[in-house]
Amino acid sequence: MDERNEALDAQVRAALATRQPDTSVASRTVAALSARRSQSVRKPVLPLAAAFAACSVTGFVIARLVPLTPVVDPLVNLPGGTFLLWGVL
Amino acid sequence: MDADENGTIDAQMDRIAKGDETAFNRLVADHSAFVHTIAKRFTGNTADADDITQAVFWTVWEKASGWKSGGASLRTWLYRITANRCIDQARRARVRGFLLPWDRKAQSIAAPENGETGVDDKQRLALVLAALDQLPARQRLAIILVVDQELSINEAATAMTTSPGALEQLLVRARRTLRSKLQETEQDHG
Repeated sequence: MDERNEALDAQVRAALATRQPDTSVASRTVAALSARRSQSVRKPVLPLAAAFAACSVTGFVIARLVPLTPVVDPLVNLPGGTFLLWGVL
Repeated sequence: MDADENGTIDAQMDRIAKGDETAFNRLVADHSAFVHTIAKRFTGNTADADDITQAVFWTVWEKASGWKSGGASLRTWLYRITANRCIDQARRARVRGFLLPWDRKAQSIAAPENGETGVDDKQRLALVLAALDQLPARQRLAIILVVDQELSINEAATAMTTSPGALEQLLVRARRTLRSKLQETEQDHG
């Protein structure tokens, strides 16, 4: 490294040394991450896949128990009824 | 780093991977100072440095299970995560500067305010910092790692996920830019 670089590097080191880190950084970081951890462990009660499965089963049961044909057939027979039905679904 | 120390760190990372908060807090206590130092010297402010430090150790917490001591020391790994977080922060700051131009810091290097010709030591340090802050993020980080933190070219290249040759090029460009900015300022005020 030539002398010019050394002189410049010395200035850079001196300038950066004015940006002193705070002494309490460790405790601040521990506190912040502890709070973050406690939030992140609260997982959603019903993840997406479970919710989808539950809705599917519920829908199937309802479809078996409730006579939907009188409701669905007239809708499908309407002009654009199929699209309307899909939209509702 | 000797085998004993490696073993200790491996055991500590193993405990962290299993959710041992005490082991994690000890790791933060041992290593947060140098992470925060790099972050503060890179960003120039404590709030952003705090964000980077927390992001670094959050990554350690999440990725502890994948830790393999291999050839890399914990410190090397931390340098790499810190470097990535610093670059991310600079990218976000650039986007914020684009979307919120009124929030952007002054882009020109400020002139001495006391009306004197020439630049005293304190002002010169401020000018060097201002010139550093205007460097592209990767050049600034290379300067901080090599010149300030005194990492070898190979260590800094590993931290920045680049080759030693590319890192040397970053340093050459950074020093050239710094030198020309400082010379311009001296001519303006001299």
